[in-house]
Amino acid sequence: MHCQEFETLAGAYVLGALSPEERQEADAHLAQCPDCQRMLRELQSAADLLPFTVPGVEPSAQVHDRLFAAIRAEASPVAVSDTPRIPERRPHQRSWWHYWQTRMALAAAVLFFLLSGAMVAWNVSLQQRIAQLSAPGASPVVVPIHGTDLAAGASGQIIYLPRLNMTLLVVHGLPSLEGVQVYQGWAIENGHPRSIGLLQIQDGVATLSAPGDLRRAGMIAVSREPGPQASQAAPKGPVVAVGTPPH
Amino acid sequence: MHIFKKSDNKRNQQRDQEAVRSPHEISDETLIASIAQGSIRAMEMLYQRYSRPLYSLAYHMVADQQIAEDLLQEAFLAVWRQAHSYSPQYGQVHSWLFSIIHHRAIDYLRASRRHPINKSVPLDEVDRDESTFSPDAWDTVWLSLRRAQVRAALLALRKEQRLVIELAFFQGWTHTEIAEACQIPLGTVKARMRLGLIHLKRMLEHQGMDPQE
Repeated sequence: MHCQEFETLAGAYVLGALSPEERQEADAHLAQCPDCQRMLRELQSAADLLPFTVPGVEPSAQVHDRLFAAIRAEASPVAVSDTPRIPERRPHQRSWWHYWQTRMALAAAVLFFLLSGAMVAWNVSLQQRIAQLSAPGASPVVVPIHGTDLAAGASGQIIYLPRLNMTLLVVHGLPSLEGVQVYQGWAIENGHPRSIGLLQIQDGVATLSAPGDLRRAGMIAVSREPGPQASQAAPKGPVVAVGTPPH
Repeated sequence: MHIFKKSDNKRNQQRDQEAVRSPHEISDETLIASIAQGSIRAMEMLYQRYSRPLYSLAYHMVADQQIAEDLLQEAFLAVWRQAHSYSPQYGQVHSWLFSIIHHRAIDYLRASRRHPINKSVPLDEVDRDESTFSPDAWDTVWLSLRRAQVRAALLALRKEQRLVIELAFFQGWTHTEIAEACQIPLGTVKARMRLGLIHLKRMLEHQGMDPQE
Protein backbone atom coordinates (compact mmCIF):
# COMPACT_ATOMS: atom_id res chain seq x y z
CA MET A 1 0.00 0.00 0.00
CA HIS A 2 1.31 3.51 -0.79
CA CYS A 3 0.53 6.79 0.92
CA GLN A 4 -2.10 7.97 -1.51
CA GLU A 5 -4.01 4.75 -1.11
CA PHE A 6 -3.77 4.99 2.67
CA GLU A 7 -5.00 8.58 2.60
CA THR A 8 -8.20 7.54 0.85
CA LEU A 9 -8.73 4.79 3.43
CA ALA A 10 -7.82 6.87 6.49
CA GLY A 11 -11.38 7.96 7.28
CA ALA A 12 -12.67 4.39 7.07
CA TYR A 13 -9.71 3.25 9.19
CA VAL A 14 -10.49 5.49 12.16
CA LEU A 15 -14.20 4.74 11.93
CA GLY A 16 -13.50 1.00 12.08
CA ALA A 17 -15.01 0.50 8.63
CA LEU A 18 -12.26 -1.59 7.04
CA SER A 19 -12.31 -5.34 6.65
CA PRO A 20 -9.73 -7.23 8.75
CA GLU A 21 -7.56 -7.78 5.67
CA GLU A 22 -7.66 -4.10 4.68
CA ARG A 23 -6.83 -3.06 8.23
CA GLN A 24 -3.88 -5.43 8.34
CA GLU A 25 -2.54 -3.95 5.11
CA ALA A 26 -3.08 -0.41 6.43
CA ASP A 27 -1.32 -1.24 9.72
CA ALA A 28 1.66 -2.60 7.80
CA HIS A 29 1.94 0.68 5.88
CA LEU A 30 1.47 2.78 9.04
CA ALA A 31 4.27 0.92 10.78
CA GLN A 32 6.76 2.48 8.36
CA CYS A 33 5.22 5.80 7.40
CA PRO A 34 5.42 8.66 9.94
CA ASP A 35 3.56 11.03 7.58
CA CYS A 36 0.55 8.74 7.42
CA GLN A 37 0.73 8.21 11.19
CA ARG A 38 0.53 11.98 11.64
CA MET A 39 -2.39 12.26 9.24
CA LEU A 40 -4.18 9.43 11.00
CA ARG A 41 -3.82 11.09 14.40
CA GLU A 42 -5.60 14.18 13.06
CA LEU A 43 -8.60 12.14 11.91
CA GLN A 44 -8.52 9.91 14.98
CA SER A 45 -8.91 12.92 17.27
CA ALA A 46 -12.26 13.73 15.63
CA ALA A 47 -13.45 10.12 15.66
CA ASP A 48 -12.54 9.87 19.35
CA LEU A 49 -15.29 12.38 20.14
CA LEU A 50 -18.09 10.45 18.45
CA PRO A 51 -18.79 8.34 21.57
CA PHE A 52 -19.73 11.57 23.33
CA THR A 53 -22.75 12.01 21.09
CA VAL A 54 -24.70 9.00 22.39
CA PRO A 55 -27.21 9.26 25.25
CA GLY A 56 -25.85 8.31 28.65
CA VAL A 57 -26.99 4.95 30.08
CA GLU A 58 -25.83 3.39 33.35
CA PRO A 59 -24.76 -0.28 33.42
CA SER A 60 -26.17 -2.50 36.14
CA ALA A 61 -24.28 -3.04 39.40
CA GLN A 62 -23.98 -6.74 38.50
CA VAL A 63 -21.49 -5.92 35.74
CA HIS A 64 -19.20 -4.31 38.31
CA ASP A 65 -19.52 -7.25 40.66
CA ARG A 66 -18.83 -9.87 37.96
CA LEU A 67 -15.93 -7.89 36.57
CA PHE A 68 -14.13 -7.40 39.87
CA ALA A 69 -14.75 -10.98 40.95
CA ALA A 70 -12.94 -12.03 37.77
CA ILE A 71 -10.17 -9.50 38.36
CA ARG A 72 -9.61 -10.62 41.95
CA ALA A 73 -9.50 -14.21 40.79
CA GLU A 74 -6.76 -13.30 38.33
CA ALA A 75 -4.84 -10.91 40.58
CA SER A 76 -1.71 -12.30 42.18
CA PRO A 77 -1.63 -12.52 46.01
CA VAL A 78 0.95 -9.72 46.13
CA ALA A 79 -1.03 -7.36 43.90
CA VAL A 80 -0.87 -3.75 45.10
CA SER A 81 -4.30 -2.44 45.98
CA ASP A 82 -3.37 0.91 47.47
CA THR A 83 -4.59 4.23 46.25
CA PRO A 84 -2.38 5.41 43.40
CA ARG A 85 -0.05 8.16 44.42
CA ILE A 86 0.76 11.15 42.32
CA PRO A 87 3.90 13.28 42.49
CA GLU A 88 3.55 16.16 44.85
CA ARG A 89 3.92 19.51 43.16
CA ARG A 90 6.02 22.07 44.91
CA PRO A 91 4.23 25.40 45.33
CA HIS A 92 5.59 28.16 43.20
CA GLN A 93 7.90 30.34 45.28
CA ARG A 94 7.13 34.02 45.21
CA SER A 95 8.78 36.89 46.92
CA TRP A 96 6.82 38.78 49.55
CA TRP A 97 7.04 41.95 47.49
CA HIS A 98 5.49 40.23 44.49
CA TYR A 99 2.80 38.80 46.78
CA TRP A 100 1.82 42.21 48.15
CA GLN A 101 2.16 43.88 44.78
CA THR A 102 -0.28 41.33 43.36
CA ARG A 103 -2.75 41.73 46.22
CA MET A 104 -2.65 45.53 46.06
CA ALA A 105 -3.22 45.55 42.34
CA LEU A 106 -6.08 43.08 42.74
CA ALA A 107 -7.65 45.15 45.51
CA ALA A 108 -7.44 48.23 43.31
CA ALA A 109 -9.01 46.34 40.41
CA VAL A 110 -11.86 44.88 42.48
CA LEU A 111 -12.57 48.21 44.16
CA PHE A 112 -12.82 49.84 40.76
CA PHE A 113 -15.35 47.19 39.57
CA LEU A 114 -17.56 47.80 42.57
CA LEU A 115 -17.62 51.55 42.08
CA SER A 116 -18.62 51.39 38.40
CA GLY A 117 -22.05 52.58 37.32
CA ALA A 118 -23.90 51.47 34.21
CA MET A 119 -22.84 48.30 32.38
CA VAL A 120 -21.37 50.13 29.34
CA ALA A 121 -19.46 52.61 31.48
CA TRP A 122 -18.30 49.73 33.67
CA ASN A 123 -17.01 47.83 30.67
CA VAL A 124 -15.07 50.80 29.31
CA SER A 125 -13.58 51.57 32.73
CA LEU A 126 -12.57 47.96 33.19
CA GLN A 127 -10.66 47.93 29.95
CA GLN A 128 -8.92 51.20 30.87
CA ARG A 129 -7.93 49.93 34.31
CA ILE A 130 -6.60 46.68 32.93
CA ALA A 131 -4.49 48.56 30.41
CA GLN A 132 -2.97 50.60 33.26
CA LEU A 133 -2.12 47.51 35.25
CA SER A 134 -0.60 45.74 32.31
CA ALA A 135 2.93 46.37 31.16
CA PRO A 136 3.47 47.54 27.60
CA GLY A 137 3.61 44.60 25.24
CA ALA A 138 1.80 42.32 27.73
CA SER A 139 -1.82 43.13 26.96
CA PRO A 140 -4.57 41.39 28.88
CA VAL A 141 -6.21 38.50 27.07
CA VAL A 142 -9.98 38.39 27.15
CA VAL A 143 -12.13 35.31 26.54
CA PRO A 144 -15.94 35.52 26.55
CA ILE A 145 -18.04 33.48 28.94
CA HIS A 146 -21.68 32.61 28.22
CA GLY A 147 -24.61 31.54 30.33
CA THR A 148 -25.99 28.01 29.91
CA ASP A 149 -29.70 27.24 29.58
CA LEU A 150 -30.09 27.83 33.31
CA ALA A 151 -28.72 31.35 33.01
CA ALA A 152 -29.38 32.33 29.43
CA GLY A 153 -29.04 36.04 30.19
CA ALA A 154 -25.62 35.71 31.79
CA SER A 155 -22.46 36.78 30.05
CA GLY A 156 -19.00 37.92 31.01
CA GLN A 157 -15.31 37.64 30.45
CA ILE A 158 -12.29 35.66 31.50
CA ILE A 159 -9.45 38.17 31.68
CA TYR A 160 -5.85 37.09 31.94
CA LEU A 161 -3.37 39.73 33.19
CA PRO A 162 0.06 38.60 32.01
CA ARG A 163 2.04 40.99 34.19
CA LEU A 164 0.32 39.80 37.34
CA ASN A 165 -0.01 36.22 36.14
CA MET A 166 -3.58 36.36 37.34
CA THR A 167 -6.94 35.57 35.82
CA LEU A 168 -10.10 37.55 36.56
CA LEU A 169 -13.53 36.10 36.01
CA VAL A 170 -16.32 38.66 35.62
CA VAL A 171 -19.91 37.60 35.00
CA HIS A 172 -23.07 39.68 34.94
CA GLY A 173 -26.67 38.65 34.63
CA LEU A 174 -26.48 35.56 36.83
CA PRO A 175 -29.78 34.64 38.50
CA SER A 176 -30.24 35.62 42.13
CA LEU A 177 -29.17 33.06 44.68
CA GLU A 178 -31.42 31.55 47.31
CA GLY A 179 -30.57 30.91 50.91
CA VAL A 180 -26.88 30.15 51.38
CA GLN A 181 -26.23 29.21 47.75
CA VAL A 182 -23.00 30.40 46.19
CA TYR A 183 -21.52 30.68 42.72
CA GLN A 184 -18.23 28.82 42.35
CA GLY A 185 -15.62 28.89 39.58
CA TRP A 186 -13.99 25.78 38.12
CA ALA A 187 -11.11 25.14 35.78
CA ILE A 188 -11.77 21.98 33.77
CA GLU A 189 -8.57 20.21 32.83
CA ASN A 190 -8.76 16.94 30.91
CA GLY A 191 -12.36 16.59 32.02
CA HIS A 192 -11.51 16.96 35.70
CA PRO A 193 -12.78 19.98 37.60
CA ARG A 194 -10.60 22.05 39.91
CA SER A 195 -12.13 24.71 42.11
CA ILE A 196 -10.79 28.21 41.57
CA GLY A 197 -12.90 29.81 44.30
CA LEU A 198 -16.21 31.47 45.08
CA LEU A 199 -17.47 34.41 43.07
CA GLN A 200 -18.15 37.62 44.97
CA ILE A 201 -21.34 39.40 43.94
CA GLN A 202 -21.84 43.15 44.12
CA ASP A 203 -24.45 45.19 42.28
CA GLY A 204 -25.34 42.26 40.05
CA VAL A 205 -21.74 41.62 38.96
CA ALA A 206 -20.01 38.40 40.03
CA THR A 207 -16.21 38.47 40.15
CA LEU A 208 -13.44 36.09 41.01
CA SER A 209 -9.68 36.34 40.80
CA ALA A 210 -7.37 33.36 40.67
CA PRO A 211 -3.61 33.06 40.35
CA GLY A 212 -2.07 31.80 37.16
CA ASP A 213 -3.18 31.57 33.57
CA LEU A 214 -6.52 29.75 33.55
CA ARG A 215 -6.59 29.88 29.77
CA ARG A 216 -4.61 26.64 29.90
CA ALA A 217 -7.70 24.89 31.21
CA GLY A 218 -9.87 23.31 28.56
CA MET A 219 -12.88 25.12 29.96
CA ILE A 220 -13.81 27.58 32.70
CA ALA A 221 -17.20 26.99 34.31
CA VAL A 222 -19.35 28.65 36.96
CA SER A 223 -21.71 26.46 38.96
CA ARG A 224 -24.41 27.21 41.50
CA GLU A 225 -23.49 25.36 44.69
CA PRO A 226 -25.60 24.68 47.78
CA GLY A 227 -23.12 26.63 49.96
CA PRO A 228 -22.31 28.27 52.20
CA GLN A 229 -18.82 26.85 51.74
CA ALA A 230 -17.22 25.99 48.44
CA SER A 231 -17.73 22.47 47.14
CA GLN A 232 -14.51 20.48 47.25
CA ALA A 233 -13.76 17.91 44.58
CA ALA A 234 -16.43 18.61 41.97
CA PRO A 235 -19.54 20.72 41.45
CA LYS A 236 -22.61 19.53 43.27
CA GLY A 237 -24.88 21.96 41.50
CA PRO A 238 -25.65 22.90 37.89
CA VAL A 239 -23.24 24.75 35.60
CA VAL A 240 -24.64 28.19 34.81
CA ALA A 241 -21.87 29.74 32.70
CA VAL A 242 -19.08 28.41 30.55
CA GLY A 243 -16.07 29.88 28.76
CA THR A 244 -13.79 27.97 26.42
CA PRO A 245 -10.31 29.52 26.13
CA PRO A 246 -8.90 29.03 22.64
CA HIS A 247 -5.67 27.04 22.32
CA MET B 1 23.35 17.13 62.00
CA HIS B 2 21.18 14.48 63.69
CA ILE B 3 18.44 17.10 64.26
CA PHE B 4 18.41 18.01 60.57
CA LYS B 5 18.12 14.34 59.59
CA LYS B 6 15.10 13.94 61.86
CA SER B 7 13.47 16.97 60.27
CA ASP B 8 14.10 15.54 56.82
CA ASN B 9 12.41 12.26 57.79
CA LYS B 10 9.42 14.11 59.15
CA ARG B 11 9.14 16.14 55.97
CA ASN B 12 9.31 12.99 53.88
CA GLN B 13 6.53 11.34 55.86
CA GLN B 14 4.37 14.41 55.52
CA ARG B 15 5.06 14.53 51.81
CA ASP B 16 4.07 10.87 51.40
CA GLN B 17 0.81 11.46 53.23
CA GLU B 18 0.02 14.54 51.19
CA ALA B 19 0.85 12.69 47.97
CA VAL B 20 -2.34 10.62 48.27
CA ARG B 21 -4.82 12.92 46.59
CA SER B 22 -8.52 12.73 45.97
CA PRO B 23 -9.57 10.44 43.07
CA HIS B 24 -10.49 13.37 40.85
CA GLU B 25 -6.90 14.65 40.92
CA ILE B 26 -5.38 11.39 39.66
CA SER B 27 -4.75 11.36 35.92
CA ASP B 28 -5.93 8.56 33.66
CA GLU B 29 -2.32 7.79 32.78
CA THR B 30 -1.44 7.34 36.46
CA LEU B 31 -4.37 4.97 36.87
CA ILE B 32 -3.29 2.87 33.89
CA ALA B 33 0.28 2.72 35.18
CA SER B 34 -1.03 1.56 38.56
CA ILE B 35 -3.30 -1.02 36.95
CA ALA B 36 -0.31 -2.35 35.02
CA GLN B 37 1.30 -2.96 38.41
CA GLY B 38 -1.74 -4.83 39.63
CA SER B 39 -3.64 -2.12 41.52
CA ILE B 40 -7.27 -3.14 41.89
CA ARG B 41 -8.04 0.18 43.56
CA ALA B 42 -6.87 1.99 40.42
CA MET B 43 -9.03 -0.35 38.37
CA GLU B 44 -12.02 0.59 40.54
CA MET B 45 -11.34 4.28 39.93
CA LEU B 46 -11.03 3.78 36.18
CA TYR B 47 -14.27 1.79 36.15
CA GLN B 48 -16.04 4.48 38.16
CA ARG B 49 -14.80 7.09 35.69
CA TYR B 50 -15.50 5.35 32.39
CA SER B 51 -18.01 2.52 32.80
CA ARG B 52 -20.98 4.73 31.99
CA PRO B 53 -19.68 6.36 28.77
CA LEU B 54 -18.23 3.05 27.52
CA TYR B 55 -21.45 1.21 28.28
CA SER B 56 -23.45 3.99 26.64
CA LEU B 57 -21.50 3.56 23.41
CA ALA B 58 -21.84 -0.22 23.43
CA TYR B 59 -25.55 -0.05 24.23
CA HIS B 60 -26.14 2.51 21.49
CA MET B 61 -24.44 0.22 18.98
CA VAL B 62 -25.83 -3.19 19.87
CA ALA B 63 -29.21 -2.10 21.30
CA ASP B 64 -29.18 -4.97 23.80
CA GLN B 65 -28.55 -4.51 27.53
CA GLN B 66 -27.06 -7.95 28.15
CA ILE B 67 -24.78 -7.85 25.13
CA ALA B 68 -23.65 -4.34 25.99
CA GLU B 69 -22.85 -5.38 29.56
CA ASP B 70 -20.88 -8.38 28.30
CA LEU B 71 -18.92 -6.09 26.00
CA LEU B 72 -18.27 -3.70 28.88
CA GLN B 73 -16.95 -6.52 31.05
CA GLU B 74 -14.75 -7.84 28.23
CA ALA B 75 -13.37 -4.37 27.58
CA PHE B 76 -12.40 -3.75 31.19
CA LEU B 77 -10.90 -7.23 31.51
CA ALA B 78 -8.80 -6.42 28.45
CA VAL B 79 -7.67 -3.22 30.17
CA TRP B 80 -6.76 -5.19 33.30
CA ARG B 81 -4.75 -7.71 31.31
CA GLN B 82 -3.16 -5.34 28.80
CA ALA B 83 -2.64 -2.12 30.77
CA HIS B 84 1.11 -2.55 30.32
CA SER B 85 0.64 -2.30 26.54
CA TYR B 86 -0.86 1.20 26.68
CA SER B 87 1.42 4.01 25.56
CA PRO B 88 0.61 7.74 25.27
CA GLN B 89 1.78 7.60 21.66
CA TYR B 90 -1.44 5.69 20.89
CA GLY B 91 -3.50 8.65 22.10
CA GLN B 92 -5.21 9.56 25.32
CA VAL B 93 -6.43 6.90 27.72
CA HIS B 94 -10.11 7.60 27.06
CA SER B 95 -9.48 7.17 23.30
CA TRP B 96 -7.79 3.84 23.97
CA LEU B 97 -10.67 2.68 26.15
CA PHE B 98 -13.29 3.69 23.60
CA SER B 99 -11.39 1.96 20.81
CA ILE B 100 -11.30 -1.30 22.82
CA ILE B 101 -15.05 -1.43 23.34
CA HIS B 102 -15.82 0.01 19.91
CA HIS B 103 -13.86 -2.74 18.13
CA ARG B 104 -15.55 -5.40 20.23
CA ALA B 105 -18.97 -3.96 19.45
CA ILE B 106 -18.17 -3.88 15.74
CA ASP B 107 -16.94 -7.47 15.85
CA TYR B 108 -20.18 -8.49 17.54
CA LEU B 109 -22.34 -6.66 15.02
CA ARG B 110 -20.52 -8.16 12.06
CA ALA B 111 -20.48 -11.64 13.55
CA SER B 112 -24.19 -11.54 14.21
CA ARG B 113 -24.82 -9.87 10.83
CA ARG B 114 -27.14 -7.50 12.55
CA HIS B 115 -27.56 -3.83 11.71
CA PRO B 116 -29.98 -2.59 14.33
CA ILE B 117 -31.99 0.47 13.55
CA ASN B 118 -31.36 2.95 16.31
CA LYS B 119 -34.42 4.85 17.41
CA SER B 120 -33.63 8.47 18.05
CA VAL B 121 -34.01 9.53 21.66
CA PRO B 122 -35.83 12.84 22.15
CA LEU B 123 -33.73 15.40 23.94
CA ASP B 124 -35.98 15.57 27.00
CA GLU B 125 -35.69 11.79 27.45
CA VAL B 126 -31.90 12.07 27.22
CA ASP B 127 -31.87 14.68 29.97
CA ARG B 128 -34.17 12.59 32.15
CA ASP B 129 -31.97 9.52 31.73
CA GLU B 130 -28.84 11.39 32.77
CA SER B 131 -30.35 13.00 35.85
CA THR B 132 -31.86 9.70 37.04
CA PHE B 133 -28.89 7.42 36.53
CA SER B 134 -25.75 9.42 37.05
CA PRO B 135 -23.96 8.59 40.28
CA ASP B 136 -21.56 11.50 39.83
CA ALA B 137 -23.12 14.90 39.23
CA TRP B 138 -19.95 16.43 37.81
CA ASP B 139 -19.39 13.66 35.27
CA THR B 140 -22.95 14.17 34.08
CA VAL B 141 -22.48 17.91 33.74
CA TRP B 142 -19.10 17.60 32.02
CA LEU B 143 -20.26 14.91 29.64
CA SER B 144 -23.45 16.85 28.91
CA LEU B 145 -21.47 19.91 27.94
CA ARG B 146 -19.11 17.88 25.80
CA ARG B 147 -21.94 15.88 24.27
CA ALA B 148 -23.87 18.99 23.31
CA GLN B 149 -20.86 20.49 21.57
CA VAL B 150 -19.92 17.37 19.63
CA ARG B 151 -23.51 16.51 18.75
CA ALA B 152 -24.09 20.01 17.41
CA ALA B 153 -20.97 19.74 15.27
CA LEU B 154 -22.01 16.30 13.99
CA LEU B 155 -25.48 17.57 13.09
CA ALA B 156 -23.92 20.49 11.25
CA LEU B 157 -22.14 18.14 8.84
CA ARG B 158 -23.56 17.59 5.40
CA LYS B 159 -26.09 14.78 5.77
CA GLU B 160 -24.33 12.45 3.32
CA GLN B 161 -21.12 12.76 5.35
CA ARG B 162 -22.97 12.28 8.62
CA LEU B 163 -24.77 9.20 7.26
CA VAL B 164 -21.59 7.31 6.33
CA ILE B 165 -19.96 8.22 9.64
CA GLU B 166 -22.96 7.02 11.63
CA LEU B 167 -23.35 3.80 9.62
CA ALA B 168 -19.66 3.00 10.00
CA PHE B 169 -18.98 4.08 13.58
CA PHE B 170 -22.26 3.27 15.30
CA GLN B 171 -23.63 0.47 13.15
CA GLY B 172 -20.38 -1.32 12.36
CA TRP B 173 -20.81 -1.31 8.58
CA THR B 174 -17.71 -1.60 6.41
CA HIS B 175 -17.20 0.96 3.68
CA THR B 176 -17.93 -1.73 1.11
CA GLU B 177 -21.26 -2.59 2.76
CA ILE B 178 -22.20 1.10 2.89
CA ALA B 179 -21.38 1.55 -0.80
CA GLU B 180 -23.50 -1.46 -1.73
CA ALA B 181 -26.42 -0.61 0.53
CA CYS B 182 -26.52 3.05 -0.43
CA GLN B 183 -25.75 2.42 -4.09
CA ILE B 184 -22.88 4.89 -4.20
CA PRO B 185 -19.31 4.35 -5.43
CA LEU B 186 -16.84 3.00 -2.89
CA GLY B 187 -14.50 5.91 -3.52
CA THR B 188 -17.30 8.33 -2.69
CA VAL B 189 -17.94 6.56 0.62
CA LYS B 190 -14.26 6.76 1.57
CA ALA B 191 -14.07 10.43 0.62
CA ARG B 192 -17.20 11.31 2.60
CA MET B 193 -15.81 9.55 5.66
CA ARG B 194 -12.48 11.37 5.47
CA LEU B 195 -13.92 14.79 4.67
CA GLY B 196 -16.68 14.42 7.24
CA LEU B 197 -14.12 13.78 9.99
CA ILE B 198 -11.98 16.71 8.82
CA HIS B 199 -14.98 19.04 8.88
CA LEU B 200 -16.04 17.76 12.30
CA LYS B 201 -12.57 18.45 13.68
CA ARG B 202 -12.47 21.95 12.20
CA MET B 203 -15.90 22.82 13.58
CA LEU B 204 -14.94 21.74 17.07
CA GLU B 205 -11.65 23.62 16.89
CA HIS B 206 -13.58 26.69 15.79
CA GLN B 207 -15.70 26.34 18.92
CA GLY B 208 -12.57 26.34 21.00
CA MET B 209 -12.57 22.61 21.73
CA ASP B 210 -9.31 20.81 21.16
CA PRO B 211 -10.38 17.36 19.87
CA GLN B 212 -7.05 15.95 21.05
CA GLU B 213 -7.80 16.83 24.71
